[in-house]
Amino acid sequence: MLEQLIVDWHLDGTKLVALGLLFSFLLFFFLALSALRGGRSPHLRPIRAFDGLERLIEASSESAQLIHCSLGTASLVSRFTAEVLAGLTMLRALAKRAVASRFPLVVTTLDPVSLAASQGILARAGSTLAEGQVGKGEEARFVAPEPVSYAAGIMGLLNREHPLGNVIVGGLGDEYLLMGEVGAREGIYQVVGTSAPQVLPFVVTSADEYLLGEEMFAAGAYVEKNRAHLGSLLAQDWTRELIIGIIIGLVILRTAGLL
Amino acid sequence: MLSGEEIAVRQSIPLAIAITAGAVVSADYFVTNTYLNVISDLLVGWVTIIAAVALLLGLLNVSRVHISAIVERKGNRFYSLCLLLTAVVIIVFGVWPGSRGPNDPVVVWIFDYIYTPLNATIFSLLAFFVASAAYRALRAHTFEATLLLLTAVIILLGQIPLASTAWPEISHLKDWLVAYPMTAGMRGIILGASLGIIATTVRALVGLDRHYLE
Repeated sequence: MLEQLIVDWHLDGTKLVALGLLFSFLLFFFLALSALRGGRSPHLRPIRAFDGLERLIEASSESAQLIHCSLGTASLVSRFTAEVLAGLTMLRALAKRAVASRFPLVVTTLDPVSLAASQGILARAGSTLAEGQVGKGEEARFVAPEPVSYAAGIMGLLNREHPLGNVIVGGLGDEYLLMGEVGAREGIYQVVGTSAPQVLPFVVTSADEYLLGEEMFAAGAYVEKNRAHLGSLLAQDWTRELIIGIIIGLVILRTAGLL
Repeated sequence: MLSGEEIAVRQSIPLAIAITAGAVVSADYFVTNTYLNVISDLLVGWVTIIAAVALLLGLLNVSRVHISAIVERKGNRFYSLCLLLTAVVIIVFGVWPGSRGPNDPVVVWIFDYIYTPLNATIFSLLAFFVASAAYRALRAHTFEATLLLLTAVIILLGQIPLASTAWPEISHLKDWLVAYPMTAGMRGIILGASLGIIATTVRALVGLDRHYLE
C-alpha cells in the first residue's frame, strides 16, 4: 500500500525536457513578477493588431456601433483550452472598454462552458464599472455546438447585424474562412487571432489585422496592462531566448562532431 | 452586500480547488502513480459531466435569444421559429417514452437526411470562399501577395504530374519550399504559440488568471 503511494518517477526524455521547460518558465515568471513589482516597466514591441483594435474601440465608442467578439470554433474543454482562455482575456478587455465607453458588444461561442464564462465576464464588467450596454448576460450567445453550424450562424449574424468590428480570438479550424470571408465582403473591420498554422493563409487573406501564434496570448498585457500577463510575456521572451541558445549550442556541438 | 472577508473566502475556496485539481492532473502527466492516475481520471470525467450539463445552459440561451427575436418581430423571426421547432422535435423524439434516445429512428433520420447534408453544403462553400479570398489578397499588389502567388503557383505545378514530367526541377523546388521555408515558419509559429500556451496554463495554475471566478 505504502509502496504504491510512493510516486514512481519514470520520466522519459521528452517528459524530462517538458518538465525542465515548465520549471524554467516558472522561475522566469516569478523573476519577472518580482522585477515588475520593483517598478520595472517592460518594453512592449508594437503589434499592429492591438493598434487596430484600439482604433476599432475608438470608432465604436464614437458611433455606438456593435463589436462582435467570437471565441473561435473550439471548446474550452478541448486541446484548444489555452486559445479559448486567450479569447476570454480579449473579451474581458473589450467588455471593460464597452462599459466605460458605452458601445454595444456581443460575444458568441459554440461551447456552453465558454458561454457561462462569457456571461460571468460581461456581468462583472457591467457591475464593477458602470451601468452600460453590457452586463445583462443577453449579449453572450450560444450559437451552435458544431464548428460548421457555428460558422453558418456567424455568417448570418454578420449579414444581419452589420457590426463595425469582428474580433475572433480562439481555437480555429478551416471553417474560419466562412466567417472571415463574409466579414471581409461586408467591409467589417476584422481582428483575428490564431495559433493554428494551417488556418494562417485564410486569416491573412480575410482579416484586416491578425495575431499570430504567441501574439494572441498577449491581449492581457497589451490591452489590459495586467501585471501577471506582463510578467508571463517577459518570461515567454526569456524562455524563448533560452531555447534559441540551446538550439544554437546543439548545432555547434553537432557540427563539431561532439554529439 | 458581502463583506471583504466573505468575498475573499468565496474566491479562495474555488481558487484552492482549481489549483489543486490543475496540479494533480499536471503531475499525472509527468509521473506514473496508480492513485494519482485514478484521481486524475476522476477529475477529467467530472469535466465531461459538467460540460454536458452546461449544454442545457446553452439550450436555454439559444431559446431566450430566438424567443426574443420572435416576440420583438425581428426580420429573422422565421428562422428563429424554425430553429425552435426543430429543437423541440429533436428533444421530444429523443426523450419520448419508448424512444431510443439519440438512436431513435426519427432523430437519426433528421441527422442523416437534413443536418448532415446541410452541414456538408455549408462546408463545401469553402472552395469558393478560398478562391475569392485568394483573389482579393492577390489584388492587393503587395510584396506578401506576390510571394503568396508565386509560392501557390510553384506548389500547384509541383503537384501536377504533367508539369513535373515536363520540368522536373519544379517538383524539387516544391519539395524544397515545403521542407525548409514552410517548415521553418510553421515551427516558429508553433514554438511561439506553445510558449503562449505554457504562459496561460502557468497563470491559471498559480491562480493569477481567474476566468473561472468571474
